[in-house]
Amino acid sequence: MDKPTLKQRLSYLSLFAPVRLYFILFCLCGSIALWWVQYQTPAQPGAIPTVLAMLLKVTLSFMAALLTGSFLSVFIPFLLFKIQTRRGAVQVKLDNEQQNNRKLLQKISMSIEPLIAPPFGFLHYRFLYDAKDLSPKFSLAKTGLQTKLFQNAQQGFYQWPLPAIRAYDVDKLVVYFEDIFQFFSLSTTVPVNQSFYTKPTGMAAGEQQIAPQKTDTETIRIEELRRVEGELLHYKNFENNDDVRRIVWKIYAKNKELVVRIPEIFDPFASHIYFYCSFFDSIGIADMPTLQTRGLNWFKNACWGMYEQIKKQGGEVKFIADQDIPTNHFTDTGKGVEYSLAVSKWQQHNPLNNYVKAKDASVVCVHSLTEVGALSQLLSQTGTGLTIVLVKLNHGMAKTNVMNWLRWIFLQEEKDDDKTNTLKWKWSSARRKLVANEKKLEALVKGSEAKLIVL
Amino acid sequence: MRIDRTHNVKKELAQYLLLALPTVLLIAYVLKMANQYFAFLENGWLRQTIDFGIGMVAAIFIFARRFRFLPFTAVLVATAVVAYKILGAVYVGEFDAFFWSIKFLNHIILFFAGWLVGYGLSRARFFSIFWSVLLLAAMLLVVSKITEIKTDAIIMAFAPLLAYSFYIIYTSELIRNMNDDEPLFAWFVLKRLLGFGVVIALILFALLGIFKKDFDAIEKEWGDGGKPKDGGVPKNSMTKNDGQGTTTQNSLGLNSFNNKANKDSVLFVAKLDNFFPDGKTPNPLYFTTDYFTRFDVETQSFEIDTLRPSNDLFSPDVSKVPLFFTKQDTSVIRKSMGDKNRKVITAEVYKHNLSAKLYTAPSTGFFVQPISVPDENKDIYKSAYKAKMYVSELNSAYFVYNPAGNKDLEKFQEQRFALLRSVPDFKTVPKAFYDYYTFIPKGNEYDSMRSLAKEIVTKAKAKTPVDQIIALRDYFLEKDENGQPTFRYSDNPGIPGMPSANKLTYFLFQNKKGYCAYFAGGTLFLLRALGIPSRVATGFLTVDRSSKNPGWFWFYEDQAHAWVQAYFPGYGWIDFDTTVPDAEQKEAPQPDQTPPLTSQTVWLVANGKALSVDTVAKRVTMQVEKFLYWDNPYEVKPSKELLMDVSLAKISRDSGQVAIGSIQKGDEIVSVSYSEQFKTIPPKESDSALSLLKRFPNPAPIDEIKIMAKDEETKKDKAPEAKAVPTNWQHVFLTFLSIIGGFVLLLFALPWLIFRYLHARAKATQPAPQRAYWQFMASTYYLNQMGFSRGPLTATQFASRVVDPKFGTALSTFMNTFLKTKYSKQPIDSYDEKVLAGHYPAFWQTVKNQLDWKYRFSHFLNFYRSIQFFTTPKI
Repeated sequence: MDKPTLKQRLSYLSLFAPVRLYFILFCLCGSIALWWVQYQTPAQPGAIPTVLAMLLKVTLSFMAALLTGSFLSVFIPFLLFKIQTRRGAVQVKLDNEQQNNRKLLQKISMSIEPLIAPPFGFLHYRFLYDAKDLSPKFSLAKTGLQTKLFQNAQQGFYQWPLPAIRAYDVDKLVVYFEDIFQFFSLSTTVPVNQSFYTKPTGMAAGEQQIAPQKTDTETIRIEELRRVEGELLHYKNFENNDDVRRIVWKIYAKNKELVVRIPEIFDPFASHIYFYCSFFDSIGIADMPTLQTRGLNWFKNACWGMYEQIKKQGGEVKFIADQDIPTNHFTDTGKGVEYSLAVSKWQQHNPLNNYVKAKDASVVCVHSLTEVGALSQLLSQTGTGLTIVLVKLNHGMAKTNVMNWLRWIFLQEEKDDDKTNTLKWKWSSARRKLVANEKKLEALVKGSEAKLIVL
Repeated sequence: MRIDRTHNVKKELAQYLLLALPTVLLIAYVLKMANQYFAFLENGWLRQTIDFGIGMVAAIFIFARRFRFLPFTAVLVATAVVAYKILGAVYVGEFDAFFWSIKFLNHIILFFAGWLVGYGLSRARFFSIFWSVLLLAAMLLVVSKITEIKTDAIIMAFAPLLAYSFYIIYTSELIRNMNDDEPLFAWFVLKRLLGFGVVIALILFALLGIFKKDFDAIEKEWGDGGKPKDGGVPKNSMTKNDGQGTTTQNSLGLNSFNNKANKDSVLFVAKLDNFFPDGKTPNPLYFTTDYFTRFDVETQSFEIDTLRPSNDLFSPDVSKVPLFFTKQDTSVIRKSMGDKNRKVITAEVYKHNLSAKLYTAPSTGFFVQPISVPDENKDIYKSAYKAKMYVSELNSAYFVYNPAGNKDLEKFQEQRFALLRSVPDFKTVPKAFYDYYTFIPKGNEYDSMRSLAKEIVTKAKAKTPVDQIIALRDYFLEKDENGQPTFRYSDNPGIPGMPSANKLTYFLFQNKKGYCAYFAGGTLFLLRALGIPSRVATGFLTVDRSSKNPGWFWFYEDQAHAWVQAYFPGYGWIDFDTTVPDAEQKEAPQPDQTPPLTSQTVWLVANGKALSVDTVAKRVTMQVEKFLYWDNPYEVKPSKELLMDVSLAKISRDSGQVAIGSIQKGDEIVSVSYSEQFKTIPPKESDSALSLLKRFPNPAPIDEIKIMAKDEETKKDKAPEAKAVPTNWQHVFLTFLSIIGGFVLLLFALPWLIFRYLHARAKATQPAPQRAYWQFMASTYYLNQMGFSRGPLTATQFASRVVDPKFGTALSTFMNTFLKTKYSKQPIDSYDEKVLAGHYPAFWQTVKNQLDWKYRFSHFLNFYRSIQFFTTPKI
């Protein structure tokens, strides 16, 4: 994991400033206003200066009372929370629920206890994740009606916009205690240590005829009573309903144990669709932000869509990852593949020809950054049974219509890094390289015996 | 083109309701206040508020969508500029073009102000800070300058602004910080705003309580000097509404003594029968309403004193005098203590916005006769009267300062001064009178005025009283070495009203700026310092604007005026006006209109009580007590009935025209007839009242009926005045606290009260199936309140899995029966009846006994659980 840069460290520290820009501006404007009012006050004694002075006195007292109240309303809950954090009594529960795939919003349910909200004020939060990144500041949306008179716990959910499909490690939760006017903001962190991943969305791949290539030898237990050839590999204790003719009397004679033998045969047949997805970047441009998010998402979604489609059509599909990702803890293979795809990254250490076993492969998902030579080598080793899924990363990039000048003049689009990156991408030389490579790859596959699917 | 939203619909709605609405209300309040004081706004606060509101709402609507501010606003500005140019081209007349351009600009400026504020509050992050501070600072200055110096007035003017300034920061941030996904948005916002409102109100009340003493001290020092002494109306209260939408000056409106008053508002129109010796040139006279004569040591200012020696003020309640009947007090003629160069003149006063009760006439008025307003003017003038005055020929409104090169006037003025020079001193004046009208207290402040007065007359070598007065007048007109006047007219030296001695000293020696009340008050001090009997007269400045209708004068609200009257033995009270002309004074923008002209002759005026009213046949029977016939008065003793045909009659009250149904039995009415039928029945010398009545046509044709004000109505009229008693802030604070306390108490008691209600229904409702419902409600409500809510379970599951094992009850058995009664069409059998009958009180008792009372008590305080109970589905 990358270390945070100095800029990231500074912006992280600035988040803990106890007063907000609102307060600084308020003080500044207030001082200017005070000076102006005093400047406008007639110098000679009279009714106006007297009334003005009195009104100023009331205003300043009112302001002082409100600001003191505001500060205390933040400081006391903050102090209580800090004490509880020191004691280790604060519990934060995070739960990632369903995600809104269109906007890539991850619904995070959270509960923190004990935590008292500032009266009339606000509680805001940020996640510090992947050791250096900060989530946007957010508040929790309530999940239900309040049932306690005095709440010392906060619970709710947050729709976290997470643009990249990958794993996220939430390290800390920053809790901000903010007052009614947003003048003061006292913040503290609570360790969280929770991971989750955002899932790829299946891209519609259409029905595909994929033939299994990998020949597996299946070990079949012969259950029925018949004479069969086979090795006496196993014994097992006799149980009711076991065939008495299979009792191994020799063993019984030796140690009085009733065991039966289990005859098995090996049955070799072409059974498996081996599914390869190469994340290898041969051009060396995968560091570009837009390829890191949009490009990678596009590739993952395409692979996952393809995988689901083949799975749906029946047959044993085996996904071979090109990265070392432990998936043993998944009981469901599908989930394992999903996770494996979700957390995969562009890599430069496991090239295509090294990764794909030519004689096993049924489906190989390649992308615009795949090396033409490596693919050519692969194709030369395989025959008609291979399906190459070429995922054109350029298709995954956002469409920007720079010519819609009316929209550009009158509408202020939401600040979106993605769009900025897309614009940069559109004019970059990397795009031209990528498109050229895409064309070469497509021509190469078309010229071979392998089946080509372009996504 | 799809346009995305900046924030969701809930936020947009909240912005309309919680940001735009309070802001527009505040702007309305500010504009209304500003309109009262700044004539250029043309008294259009409502229109201006609407312009602002439209701008603000439009901006919120637009900027809730992803529109950019600058390009969109630039397009709007461009459109406005084009429209402005087109407007200039359409109206060719110079005046029209100018007039419409200004109107259009007014609209546009306010619209864009609203637009800017709408954008700021909707989208610009720190705008609420700038807006709140700017508004607060500006309003601090405005309120301190234009508010009447009274604790309540200042607090009432300033407190809403102060509260708003912080409210707007809070609310805009609240809306901005709301999570878009919050399902209970409205409840969340409402709860917080209520809480915030209470906190703000408590702090405000507490602070105002703390500072009340300081405010009171300021009021005493600079205001009108504390509480009223006579009947709740402050002595120097401003021109005020008398409850009928008209203006009364009976306790003297000094508010309008400067041109902050509304120039558009006509108070009355008068025809004054006073001309110069040529018989053609009208000689306008100031109209008097009251006099400030007594120096009150406590408040350090001049006051109205009804017990003044030789009180020559005739101030009848005109609305009480029956139409065409007269009221006069000739004793005031004697009390005016002047008989040289005096004459009796008449005036007709047609009231527009002036109170029907008020009598105003050049001094010294002694006669009033309410007259009818001609039909064609009835929508403009509500009532009218004729007045007679015993006036001095030496008075003229032209003598403000400058006869403007008019030789005749200059000559006339000189003649007047020459006459008055014959008064060498005041030895012949009765001592009590002299002492009263020359009283000023002793003390440094007053000594300095005395020495100033002496210095002025010594410098001018003025010996006779009139020369001394002229010297004082010249002192106010003096110019400094740069040719600039030393004394200037100013709208806004402080607070409207009769200034206190302290303020007058400040005016005379330092500030030298003020409006008429300052000049009059200052002059009064100097005159009295010289030993010249004098008083401040208040009333109306008469301006001769039109040569079209000689003798007719229009009185606008800004003509309310104060000046001094000095007493000259033999000549009486003579007007002297020392107020310097206002360099910026503008003429009333509205040109004077055609005067009301009466052409009909009144033959009969009958006064009495209404006996019966037939609204269908349009007949009214009246018990006549007295009548005027052919201008001769007749008393009807004993009173006699008169049947009147009122089919053509105009029925009116002081407040204006009313329907015939408004005449109630027992009302005192005055009937007037212009009918030609009476012209043919001239009264004979031998005629008595009764014989004349017999000769009248039956029914008598009547053209006008006036319903006189009853005593109760008068009381009703006074009611709003009685309410003007200063607010007792402590009382308000306590009431507020009690209301809040009561509300909080009710809030916490609500769960228990709800339970008592359900409990009662569960026990008493008949028949059994309905009772079963209430038993179910009471049981589940009680359990919910005690912390056992059903959650995702079904009612039966909840009963069998949670409640019964916990409390050892048989709720599940009851539930089965209850659900049967609810959903099954089968009639309930004896078993069910038994279950239903045995369930409820026993169940409640069992649960109750197993829970500690502290537990029960604390859980019953939690109103959130009640809300939860009623907002989740029951079955």
